[in-house]
Amino acid sequence: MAEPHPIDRVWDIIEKVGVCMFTTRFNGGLRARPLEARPDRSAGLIWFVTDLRSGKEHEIEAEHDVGLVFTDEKAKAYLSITARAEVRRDHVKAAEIWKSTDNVWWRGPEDPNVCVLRVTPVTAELWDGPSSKAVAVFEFAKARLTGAKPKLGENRKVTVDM
Amino acid sequence: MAETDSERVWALMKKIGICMLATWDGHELHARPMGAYVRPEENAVYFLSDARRHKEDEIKQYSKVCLAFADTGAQNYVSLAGHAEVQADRAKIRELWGTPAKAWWDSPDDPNIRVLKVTPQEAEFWDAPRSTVAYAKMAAAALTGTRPEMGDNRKVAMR
Repeated sequence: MAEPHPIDRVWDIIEKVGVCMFTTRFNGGLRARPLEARPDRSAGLIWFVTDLRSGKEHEIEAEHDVGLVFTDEKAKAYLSITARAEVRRDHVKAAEIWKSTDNVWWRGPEDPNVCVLRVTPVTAELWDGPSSKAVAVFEFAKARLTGAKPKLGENRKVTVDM
Repeated sequence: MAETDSERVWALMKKIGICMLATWDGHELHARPMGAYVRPEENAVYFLSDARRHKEDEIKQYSKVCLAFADTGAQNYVSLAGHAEVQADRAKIRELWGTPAKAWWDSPDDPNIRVLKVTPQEAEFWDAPRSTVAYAKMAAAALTGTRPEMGDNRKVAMR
């Protein structure tokens, strides 16, 4: 039986916390908004349902690098993910990740205003635990390709080459 | 007296306390958890930071930062966009010094301590699940004296 991979902890937090602060750049600076993540752990992707009329798609079109922040206050876990985002008018995907609560906002996944964000996480920095002074850094792609175990250093900031 | 949107933003930031401070390094967005000293009377959010960390360089390069406060349980969220500056103000460091800081430095006289001052530009808050979205234009609206626009989002002057 394979040992759990350290990046599993990252996916566990994403799945448990659910709503992240989705951070984008705009010409006036940086901006965040809460968005409910629809993670696909096996594909290494995080999907979001969003609206074509809201501002963030334009911000993403202008700049594909985004930040995702997940906070688990009780566990004192703070997760910062740098990622690449892509806007898609994909109603099939929207239907696949659709939740009943989305019906509050749209008339189903076929609503012309619905679009999906396909987010590819690149790196994660995790402060995990009550005294969370140490940060562990994860690289998603390497974790997925090799499944190698991390080499832990002795610095306060630990870069895990996976 | 009813609480204004800007007062609500300050109150939520105070209540949540720890935020993710997001900076732009020219290539990527980076965020890290930071304990916020929320001072509405000074129109500022302060942090104690260490000169040996990277964020100071990022802020010098690009001073626009974002503070993301999230209380996932209560579904309270604040996004505050602001301008950051790094100061080595000893008097301010002493004023902010307290138990949380002792985990990082032995004394407020440690020469590595910096004050990170964030002056709000605009804020957005989510008070309850998907109900009210209030968009608070802070200094910009105050400076131009623009009236709040009513629409999908509420825009209000903060001060």
